[in-house]
Amino acid sequence: MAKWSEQLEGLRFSAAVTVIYAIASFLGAFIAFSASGSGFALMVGASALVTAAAIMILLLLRLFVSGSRDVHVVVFLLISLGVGILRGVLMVALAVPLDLIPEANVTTQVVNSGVSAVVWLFLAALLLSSRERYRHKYRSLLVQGAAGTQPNSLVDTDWDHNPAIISMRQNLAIHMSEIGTAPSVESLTETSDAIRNEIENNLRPLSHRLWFGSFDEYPHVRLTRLIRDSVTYFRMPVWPISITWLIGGLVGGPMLFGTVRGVIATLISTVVLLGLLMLFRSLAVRQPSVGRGIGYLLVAGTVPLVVADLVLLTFGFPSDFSVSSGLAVSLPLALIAIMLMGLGISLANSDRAAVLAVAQRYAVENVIGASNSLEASTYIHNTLQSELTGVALQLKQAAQSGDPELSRKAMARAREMLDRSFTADYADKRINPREHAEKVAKAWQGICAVQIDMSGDVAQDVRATTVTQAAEELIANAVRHGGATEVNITLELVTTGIRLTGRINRTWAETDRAGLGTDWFATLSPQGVQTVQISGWTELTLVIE
Amino acid sequence: MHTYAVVSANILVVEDEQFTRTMLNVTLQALGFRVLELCDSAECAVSAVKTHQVDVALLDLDLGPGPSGVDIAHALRGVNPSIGIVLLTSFTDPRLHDPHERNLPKGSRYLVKTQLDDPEVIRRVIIDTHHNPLRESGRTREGLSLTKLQLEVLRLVAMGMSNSEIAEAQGVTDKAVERTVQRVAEALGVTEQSGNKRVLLARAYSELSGKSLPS
Repeated sequence: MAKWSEQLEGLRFSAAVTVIYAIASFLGAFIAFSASGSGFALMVGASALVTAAAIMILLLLRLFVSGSRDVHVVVFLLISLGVGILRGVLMVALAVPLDLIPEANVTTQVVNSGVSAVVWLFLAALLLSSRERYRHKYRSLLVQGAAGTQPNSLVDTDWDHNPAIISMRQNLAIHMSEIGTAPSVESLTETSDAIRNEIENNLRPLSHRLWFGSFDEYPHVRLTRLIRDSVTYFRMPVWPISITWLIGGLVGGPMLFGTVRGVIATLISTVVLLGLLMLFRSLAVRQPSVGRGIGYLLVAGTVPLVVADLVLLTFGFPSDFSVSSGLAVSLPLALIAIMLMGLGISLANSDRAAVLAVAQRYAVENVIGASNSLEASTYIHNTLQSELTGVALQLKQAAQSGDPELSRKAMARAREMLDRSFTADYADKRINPREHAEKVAKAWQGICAVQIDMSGDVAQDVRATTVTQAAEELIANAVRHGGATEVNITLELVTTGIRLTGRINRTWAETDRAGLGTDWFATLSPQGVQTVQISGWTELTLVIE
Repeated sequence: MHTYAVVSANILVVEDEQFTRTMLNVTLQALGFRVLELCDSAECAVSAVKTHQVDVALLDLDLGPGPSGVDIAHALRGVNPSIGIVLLTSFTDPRLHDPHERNLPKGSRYLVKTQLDDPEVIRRVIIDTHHNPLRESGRTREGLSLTKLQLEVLRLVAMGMSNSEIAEAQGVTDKAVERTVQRVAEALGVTEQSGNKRVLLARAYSELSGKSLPS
């Protein structure tokens, strides 16, 4: 699991954080107003107004502190506190004239609003940043693993000794030896058909197997799946929830119910909550089920408060069940809090599990063989199969034309193919990254002037293939989405990895994610992708570690 | 060899495999078309369209590293907005080649490579494209009436995954996968009566992708 210092990086006031805070703000205001005994509609309306004001404050803040930019944790907490206090001031300004909160509680309400804003915004931002960290960590590992792969470590590309190729070669050799040097129309047609049959029976299945072996995908972290798992297995962080409950109760309880009652109710409910969470977690492990999980959540959200009221009553404290009567409104809040924290832990666990899973997959050389497998499959499908299909077509045409010269040529070509070493042919077709880059640049001529500068040390590096692929992707995206007619790419070795700098004679808005394929580049570069606009050109930089 | 009614059309062939290029040249000339240029690169293709009055361009979809046939098709349309485009592909549904391939130029046609030994099909596609280079035909954009999600589920079925495994991978419920598989089966005409549904779907996928099932 990530260190705490890492956990506190990447906090930002994103739209999702705003939504989570809006829910908390509404429920918080509703609970504060519920003690006044005012009408339901008035409480809801006032709560909505307070929440709208809080969202406006956050949105205005996003103009100054970009929602897509990380902020330091101290700055984040200070801004959150400021937002909460502003919200609190607006809330009392609205609520006091309407008798929704007593005038005496004004200061405590403002403080409460500030503290709760800090808690909720921090919790939400932490939750969302943990997901980003997970993705970066996984991608980083994936790139490192792929970079460390030795070519041909998995797929045996000694095609001359491949059973499918041997079988195909033998069958066709027998067939052609029977024809001899004077092929008839029938024998040419039969040979053409025989080649097609061999393609269907031997080559296609072989390329198909290799092709399927090339599939490898990033595991997707799906929010719905994580929530379902959190509930099913009751993956709730017992201590963080209990401590948060305790702190929240000690801050909010005395304000709502007086110091003594508030503190005692908080302590009792915390102990009950802690016990219930531990019990439910152990029960859920034995019998996991979504239905049971929801039941556990409901009980954990309600019983501690009821028990606290009962204990207060039993020991002679003045209690009118106002603690547990606030249940109807506090229950959703408690459930959301528990879910969010459970989700945060699930993400951390899935982070660990995903990284472990990837490591295991590397161990069995599954992922690392994917590109190799695809390359082999492409050779069988696109080169060998295509060429054999061509030979079959030529034989068929020769048979139809009745031209002896064409027949002789077609048969000679068929024999040449069968005599050729496919192992050597495949090795010849595999070129080094620098040659590949040159080939790519040349291929784009006529559509886009492409220049790729690859230093010698990059060409020798194990990550060279990956960066060349990134360069190819960049060129393709620049032309396809931006209509670029000039792309210059530099690949150089730096201390942290290989730096790819692409200069494109088109500009994109920074937020236009579709344009440059930055999502894909982010999978290669854990440090992210920098995009700069310079007088009609776009410069994009990423470092592949 | 058969001869067909001559239709005056100037053709450009862009294909990286020399033999297929030559074969197409022979076939097209036998069909009465005038082959202006045989190219293996984008540069050659663009130059040909700039210097000749090309009516129809036959472009291999997969040309190896660099631009795809679709990229070249867009470039050719930039030079000659009314040029007819025919893309040669091994895939029944080109999305199986690259699900993220960019949109095709308007009116583009596909010609599956297995049809290349049928001159009549080649002739029909070229004449249709020549006469109506910008008219959308039913099969220009997608070979199948399947959505991307349905194609993905079909691929996973073909890989031998169960509904639960697919649901796990997609982050959806088993029921949702079951419904998708059913819709795919209906779209492909696979029924319970015709045999094991999953085997038939896997076979259909293999056929669509130009590859047969492992023996």
